[in-house]
Amino acid sequence: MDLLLDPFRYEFFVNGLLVAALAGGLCALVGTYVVLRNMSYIGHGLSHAIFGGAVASFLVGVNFYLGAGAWGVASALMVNRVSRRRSIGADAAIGVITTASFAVGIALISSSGGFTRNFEAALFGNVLGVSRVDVIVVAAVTAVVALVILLLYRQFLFLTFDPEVADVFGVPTARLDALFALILASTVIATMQILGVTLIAAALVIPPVIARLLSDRFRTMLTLSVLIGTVSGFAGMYFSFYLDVASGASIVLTQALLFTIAYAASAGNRFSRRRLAGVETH
Amino acid sequence: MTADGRPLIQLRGVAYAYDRELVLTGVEMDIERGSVVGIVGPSGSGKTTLLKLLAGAISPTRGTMERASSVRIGYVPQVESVNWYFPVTVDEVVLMGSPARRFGAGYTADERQRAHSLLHDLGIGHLENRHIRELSGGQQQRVFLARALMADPHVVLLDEPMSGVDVKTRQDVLAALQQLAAGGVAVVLTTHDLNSVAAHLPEVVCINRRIVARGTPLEVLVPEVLLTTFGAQMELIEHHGHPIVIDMHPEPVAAVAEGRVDGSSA
Repeated sequence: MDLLLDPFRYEFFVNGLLVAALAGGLCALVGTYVVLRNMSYIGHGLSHAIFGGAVASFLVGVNFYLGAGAWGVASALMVNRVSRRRSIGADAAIGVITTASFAVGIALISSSGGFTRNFEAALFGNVLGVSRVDVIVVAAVTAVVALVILLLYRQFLFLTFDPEVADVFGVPTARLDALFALILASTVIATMQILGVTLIAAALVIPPVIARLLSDRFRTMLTLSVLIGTVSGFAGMYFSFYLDVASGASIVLTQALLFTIAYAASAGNRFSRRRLAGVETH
Repeated sequence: MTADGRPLIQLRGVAYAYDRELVLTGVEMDIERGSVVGIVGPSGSGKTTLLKLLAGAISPTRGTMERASSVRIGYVPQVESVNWYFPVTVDEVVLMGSPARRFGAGYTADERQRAHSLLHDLGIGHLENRHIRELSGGQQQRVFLARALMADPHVVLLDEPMSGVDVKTRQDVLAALQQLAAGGVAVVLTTHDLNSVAAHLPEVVCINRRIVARGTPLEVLVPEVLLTTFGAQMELIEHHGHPIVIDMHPEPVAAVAEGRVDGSSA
């Protein structure tokens, strides 16, 4: 028991545990829609795009959340707009806009004279370095996103399942697409310092994919996904503390382990494996 | 028509282009209360685009579309366009058809009751907790019809409802649609199945990027119109007052393949 409670003597660990569980749950909540809309690549791309904004805001001396936030929202809206052009397609639009934005970040780093700890945290995550402000930001974004998704549950479900037809039934698809782009950008920005640019995509994708293996009902999948994201954030932090590995990596490896167990458990069940056939994870 | 004598939906001089490619032009069309209209035409002729225009999912590039005030539309998509691996059960799909403005994750007892009644009326009430992929083609078709009926529509639009279903299912779907029309609902569907249209629907529209002809099956399904619409020779015979369309390929395919006749003359 002491072994489990020992880390709680450190305030940084308590903050980290709280923020990792929140970030895991938040990414899993938003990730359920990302995975079911076959948009997994956008989580990966957007986090890279926002890195450009994070570097720019650091160098200019603007608050990270303001600078990266504006940059992220602009990138998400731009991807949303460009991908509506049929001849380009969403994956190519994401590829162009987000890698260009990431390249801006790299160019700024190289011209400013090198790599600092702040940039390293943005790239690889640093849960133990989170401040009280970071905890408040993640908690606030989680609360707002959860509330929006709860209120617009029906509309988002229809949009995710059948975007072409949802319009006909009165679902304001263009506005919801833009709103979802904002939700995704907010999620990436809020969790970037914790999970890191390189690992956010995994936190968005793995919990919903595990939940999909376990359920054929949307509501159950959504609930399971959030539960898996939260628990793996919590457990990943413990592993990070005792194994002395980077917290972002620890959280994602915990999720990967859970995926392996769920996949192996369902290996004999052809029906479960077929569920994943409709899920593109890139 | 509505109480004031106007059609439910009116298209006047409508054209539509995807990017810069014109796929429909000069469309004049009225959808009246209780009418049952079958839209036929070759692949790429603009059938689905016309349906989406009527549904209001897209707006005309040129021309006007007028809908009577507060007309509710129900839409049944092509089954090929549905993501059958999406984690939804039959009742979840049907409940999507409830008015979209309601907030929250729950559904009211009235909504659940209506979904249950619709599924029961369509003969699939016992399947409401099943995943949509576990159903047969006909059952899947009826799930999406039930979703279209959730909001008590004035017009039901169906994209290829008879595609990939067996004869019995096709008859069941058509019977359900005729029942709707008898209750005053306008039904518009697209199909490749000319003989079903001829046998079951009172009105046919032949399109190929424009409306080629519109009228009863006996008026419209004639070789000249079919040649203009499909670019293919077809012969018609009459059976119990209904036209039956026969594909007029000059020689049986097997004979061409075996070299007994020269296929190039076709």
